[in-house]
Amino acid sequence: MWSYEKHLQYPVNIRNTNPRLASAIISQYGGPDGELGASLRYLSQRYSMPYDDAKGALTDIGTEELAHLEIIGAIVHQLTRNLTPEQAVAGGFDAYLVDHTTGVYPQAAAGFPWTAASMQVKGDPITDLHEDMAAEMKARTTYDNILRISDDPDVNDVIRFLRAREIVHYQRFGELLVRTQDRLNEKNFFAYNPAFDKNKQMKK
Amino acid sequence: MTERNGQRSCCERYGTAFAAWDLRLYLDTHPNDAQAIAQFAQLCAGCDGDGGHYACRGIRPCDYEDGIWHYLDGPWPWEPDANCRPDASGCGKGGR
Repeated sequence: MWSYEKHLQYPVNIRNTNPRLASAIISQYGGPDGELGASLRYLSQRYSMPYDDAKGALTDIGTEELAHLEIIGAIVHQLTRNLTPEQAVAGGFDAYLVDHTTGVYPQAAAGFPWTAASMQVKGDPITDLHEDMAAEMKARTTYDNILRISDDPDVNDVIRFLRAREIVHYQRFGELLVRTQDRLNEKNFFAYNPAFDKNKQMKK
Repeated sequence: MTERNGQRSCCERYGTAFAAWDLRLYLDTHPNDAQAIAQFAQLCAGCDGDGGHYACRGIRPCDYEDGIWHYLDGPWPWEPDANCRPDASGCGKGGR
């Protein structure tokens, strides 16, 4: 169920206009390794996850990713809200401006719209937890790349917070993977899918 | 909230809530860590028991004051046991 806290998890206050940077950062809004995909992936994986600790962590991390989606949206908005058409053309932002003006649209830096093809919900706990650890690392690398091309201190401060959160999430998923393996046959974790093969004995 | 001259209180406000939230994630994978629970309880004290910030919402002191992170207890909302049926004598009584 939902509720909404009317403030960002981390403050965003950006003084510069920079459409070129915005068109890169937008990948964390609607790109293949961005926050929209992360939140939908984790929240969707909950249903087939057999263990309470994973249900809890997927719920909490999944909803936190929605908060991060909002932060990225705020960054893109603040980098483009005072944009002139000349700045848009000079910043390689003209194609986006034509389609979206200065609206915030979920697409990748390369321009393709957000797609569920970039995420997976496999319905097997070990598989899904590996997917989640990979997702956090892909996001972390994306933030690394953003930091390589950005010299705006207002932006970089927020990006560093988001990057640190990806690493913490990676650790949490790693713990869940170990705890899941501990519940399964130590001679063969892959003997069966505890989310599907219901006639097997399961430790909770 | 993003006033430059309120920098210190701005950081404090964000910091307390964030500390509680990160503890909440930690407790999901370490539900019996009494020290972490005590820290979480402290950060969520006041403001009618929810600390006045997002990290403490959806969890009440009775969910952890016995030293166990009961947030993880089933049933979860998408499971039938958490939901009453329309022909039951009252709604909202399903699950917790």
